[in-house]
This record gives sequence, C-alpha cells and structure tokens, in this order.
Amino acid sequence: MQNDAILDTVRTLVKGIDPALTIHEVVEPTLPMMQALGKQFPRLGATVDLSFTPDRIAIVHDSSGKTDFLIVNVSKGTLGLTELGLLHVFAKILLPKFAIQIVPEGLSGDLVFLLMATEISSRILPYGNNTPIIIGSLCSESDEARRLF
Amino acid sequence: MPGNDSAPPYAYLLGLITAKGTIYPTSKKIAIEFPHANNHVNGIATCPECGALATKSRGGVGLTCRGCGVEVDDHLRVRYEQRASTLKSISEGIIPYVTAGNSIQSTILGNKSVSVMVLDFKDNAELFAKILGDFPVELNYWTFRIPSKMWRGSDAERLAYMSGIFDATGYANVGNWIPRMGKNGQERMRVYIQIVRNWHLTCDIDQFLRNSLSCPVQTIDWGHPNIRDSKLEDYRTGKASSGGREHQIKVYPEYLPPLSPLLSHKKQLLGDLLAHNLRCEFPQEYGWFPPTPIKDNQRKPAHPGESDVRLPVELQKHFDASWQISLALGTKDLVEYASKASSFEAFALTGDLKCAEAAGPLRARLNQLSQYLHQGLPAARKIAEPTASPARQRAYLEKDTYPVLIKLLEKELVARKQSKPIVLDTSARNLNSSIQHLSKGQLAHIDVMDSWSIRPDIIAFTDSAAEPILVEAKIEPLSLAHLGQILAYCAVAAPKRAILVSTEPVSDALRRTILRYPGILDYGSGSAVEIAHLDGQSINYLRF
Repeated sequence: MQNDAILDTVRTLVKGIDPALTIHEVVEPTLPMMQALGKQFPRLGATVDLSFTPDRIAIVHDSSGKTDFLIVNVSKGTLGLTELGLLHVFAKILLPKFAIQIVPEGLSGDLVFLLMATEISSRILPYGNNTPIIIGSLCSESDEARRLF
Repeated sequence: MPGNDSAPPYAYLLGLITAKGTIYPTSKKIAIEFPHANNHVNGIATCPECGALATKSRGGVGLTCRGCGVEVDDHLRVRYEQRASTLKSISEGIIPYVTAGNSIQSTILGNKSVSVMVLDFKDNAELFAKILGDFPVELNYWTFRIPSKMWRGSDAERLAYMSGIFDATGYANVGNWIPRMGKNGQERMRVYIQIVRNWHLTCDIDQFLRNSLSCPVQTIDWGHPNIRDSKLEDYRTGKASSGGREHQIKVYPEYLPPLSPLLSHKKQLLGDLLAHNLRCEFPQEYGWFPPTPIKDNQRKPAHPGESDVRLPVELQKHFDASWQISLALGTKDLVEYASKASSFEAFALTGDLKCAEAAGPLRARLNQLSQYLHQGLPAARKIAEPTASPARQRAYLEKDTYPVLIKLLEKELVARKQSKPIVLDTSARNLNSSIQHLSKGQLAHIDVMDSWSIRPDIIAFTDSAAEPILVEAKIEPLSLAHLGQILAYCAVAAPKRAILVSTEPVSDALRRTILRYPGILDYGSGSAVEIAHLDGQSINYLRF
C-alpha cells in the first residue's frame, strides 16, 4: 500500500516538474542493487561508501532518451530542518536529476515558515546546478500528491 | 470582499494576519498559522443531577460536580476534534471567505500540531500592495500592530477584524475559569487571546477590545517574570526561561461583542462558555481598567529575570501589578488616566491617583520591600540532575567539550585580534548573564535562532559584528548527518563561520568524500563549514 502510494506520488510530482520525463522504474534499493546502479551512475556508487541509501531510486528517461536517476526519501515523522539538511548534503554529492522528499506527516511548523522565506529556502533547497529539492505530500485515497515546496 | 477596503472579509483577513501572519514580499505570499497542539479539545460538562459545572478531579481521571460533588461521567463532555475542524474550516470557510472575488491562490501546509494557510498573491499584486500598506513596517506577527484603519473602521469591520484575531489566536478553553459565584451557578468562564512575544500588540488589542468594542478586559497575564513567575518557582527550580513568551488577554465571553469565528470548534466552544456564564448570572465586573491601588500584600519579590536583556528596555525593571506593564508600554487610556494623578511617577508605583509621595524615596522603599520579599522566599530546591547510570556518569559527554572549546575559541579569536569576543554555551540554563553585553543586532540573531529552535552547542560573537560563529560539537566520528545538521543551521542563521568539531579523528571515508566533493561544505557567499578535531586541549582545523 505504502509502496503504491510512494510510486503514485513520485509519478505525480515528476509529471508536475517535468512532463517530458518518463519513469522507467522506482526501486527500493538494497546494497547490491546500489553497487549495480553505481556502475551505470558512478555518483550513486558513492552512497555505498557513505552508508547512505535513499528510500527509493527512480530511473527516468528524458525526451531524448537519456537515462538519469532521482533519489526519493520518505520522512518517518514530521519533516524538520535537520532531516532536510541531510538530504541537501546527499543531493550535493549524488547530483540526481531530482531529489524528492515525501512528507506523509507534513512539515514542522518552523520549517514551513523557514522555507517560505526565499533567502533561507535558497540556501537549503538548491543543489548542483541550482536544482531545488522537491518536497511533496504523499498521495492517499482522498488526496492527490502535491508539491509543497 | 478583500479587494474592497470597507468589507468585513478584508478586515477579517487583516485580523488573521495581525495575530498569526507572516508576509513574504519577495514571493508575494502570506502565511497564517493555526496551532492545534492537541488533537481534540474538551467542551463543557455539566452535572446531570444538579446542572452545575463538572471539572476534572485533582489528580483523578474522571469529572467531579462542583455543585453537589458527585462523580460525573467523562463521556458527558463534548470533545471537539481540533485538527479536523481546523482543516475543514480553513478550506471550506476561511479560504472561500477571504478570497471571494479575488485571484488568490491558496494552499494548506503543516502537520498534526499546526496548519498553515498560505495565500499566494502573484496574480493580485494590487491587493498584496494594499495589505503591505496596512502593515507598512513589520512583516511578522511578532511585531505587527493593529492597522490604523481598523481603529476607525465601521462596527462590522471591527467585529470582523476581532473575529480574525480570535480564529488565529483566541482560545475558549473550559479550564480557564475563575472562582466566582453567580445567582444560578459558579465558576466563571473566560476566553483569552494569546499573543506570542508581541508586547505592543497586546496593549493594542486590550485597548481595541475596551474602547472600540466596549468589551472590558478582565486581566492581562503578561509573559514578564514578575507576573508569570511571581513566586520565582520556575526560576528557583532552574527552568531555563521563567518569563514566558506569550501574553494572554482574558475576557468574559458575555462581554465580547457578537464575533463570527469561522473555525467551527472555536465557535462552538465560545457558545458553550457563553451559555454557561449567562445561565449562572454572574454580577457585572468592569475589568482591570482603571487599576486599583496596589496593597502591600500584593507586592511581589524581586526576580533576577527582571533585568533580562531580551525584555523590551522599558520592561527591564520590577513590576508588582499587570497594569504597571501596560502603563510602561504606553497604553493610551491608562496614560491619560495616570495624567490626572497628583504625581505620575507615584501613581505608576502605587496605582493611587492621590499619592503625592516623592517618587525617589517611594521607589527606594518599594525596592527594599521587593528585595525583602525575595529574601523571605523558601530556599531554592536543589535542581534534580537526570539520573545517569554509573557507566554514563564516568563517560565523557558532549557537554564536557564545551568549556574546553569555549576557552580555545576565545583564545583563537583574541589571537586573530578580534577584541572582546563573547562565546556562549547555549545549553546554559540561564543565558541572561552571558548575553548582557551583546549588541542589539547580536541579540536579534540569538532571538532568531531561539525562535526556530536552532541550538548549536556554542555561539560566539566578535566585536560588533552581528553575524555569529556557530560551533557544533560531537564526541563520535563526524558523519554526513552531522554536516547536514550544521548546514541546515547555516541556511537559517547565515553565520560568519561554522565549525563542526569532534573529539574523534575525522574518518578516512569522510575525508575522501570532502576531498572528492569539496562543495558539500559550502553554505553560501563563499563560506564553508570548517571541520576540526578537538585533540585534548587543542583544536586542529582540517585543511581540504
């Protein structure tokens, strides 16, 4: 159920960000899988060294057929500033096409106000070539996934 | 409609913004916070036998009738689901009401304890400019004042404005009664407006209720140490900040004008409390204004928190009564009232219009009295330290690094010719003594970090530079999670320097990662987190 919801959420968010992108697959990575993916995407190989495994990896193709990957994390509770800081570091290292943080329990009140302030969000959300981390709600039976930031 | 100055929905929106709003001029957005810390809130319960109020038994689980004393079934109490009610009311009531006829996008963010309504005015720059015009100086409810047009608004506007304030920060909690006897019952219910931090807005709302809505304010419970912790209980038991950050304006619901809250549970609770007070038929009360003279037995002991530099300058002194704070903050009708006194200063100290005692000796006498009362307090209870296992007691803890790091950092800053560095251990229970010498800009930084619950272990300031130096200390090998934490702090605090230090040497894996991806230490404007090793009594910065 959660798996389906995450998959639907990723599809919805990606469609909203870049409709030309097609999702090939979304996997829950294991260590051997990360090693294998590391051969295709060398930066993903770094995660093995860093004891970091994203909750999901999505393999995507753009309109020209180029393959890329997204990293997806799912917060266990309310998303706070420190957890977002961790994804920020990993996104800087892995440089995924998109880094997505799904927040089934929402964001902390403080974080909402901090991210609304562009001078702060511009320091914590962008990575790589100024690509912002995407924060989205988890879709449910009653609500579609939404990009929150 | 909000586009029309004279319409109640616009006034209601201004009320929401005043009480809990933050304006983001760059993105043309406004966020309004609706807290709901508990999932549900209890309604009133009455005894099925005698009809009197039933309240929670002290230390017990059930309810007890305050009239005939019988136990009352807890299920007789209505429970309002705050969170569900808030979300539904925002989406079905508030958003349609404030956006009707205007191009305003809206969304609701938050979590189980707070909902944040975000209004996006990117398609309605004119209306956004109008709102900015009503809050010309400040951008946040911590410092907003009542917009000038609301003081001169029509009855309908003033009511709508106060309804907005009530929806955002009004509370109709059953537990807020005070002991009073009425013709047909007892325990008089109060509702309160809770203002976070904002001292002057509290004065504004107090005056607005009294003078613009003819609603007497029963009292103001100020978040000043003399009022909130008048017996120094918090202070003596080592609680970090005995002065609260909120102020509560308390009123009897029967004196409120007919407000129209849009949060359904607040509307129902307000109705419940009002019905109780009307049924009990309490005698008329006229509120705290005008004040009555302070009797000697109402004087309060001196509180060390009175001099806290985080208080507004005019409030960094001793107060014996709530109204004295209102006077010090310049509450207009109180200042006018005080101007009739034989001596303004003597009135400010006593509340007696006829008191003509010379202010100097009077102040000295009262100061002596507050010191005497302070000395008469029972001895401070020993602060209970958390019990630790013998193994943990022997262990070297993170906090053990702070004194060493503070000394090293002070030495380093002096060596760099940065005179008078101020280095603070933020885990200290009472920061006040350490922050007395900070400049206004430096204090503002401390305040911002405190507000957003950002607690680096050590904060330092050099000379008059407002930007802090943040230090995060660890006693385990540094990881990328630690780096993520300090980078997140840096995003908010934009420090001059940020230092991540551990008593453990930096692992090869982290060293390799930083060498391979040096940009991961960057936190903007060419600044990068400094990684260091605390090796005994020396600190070694790693060069990458």
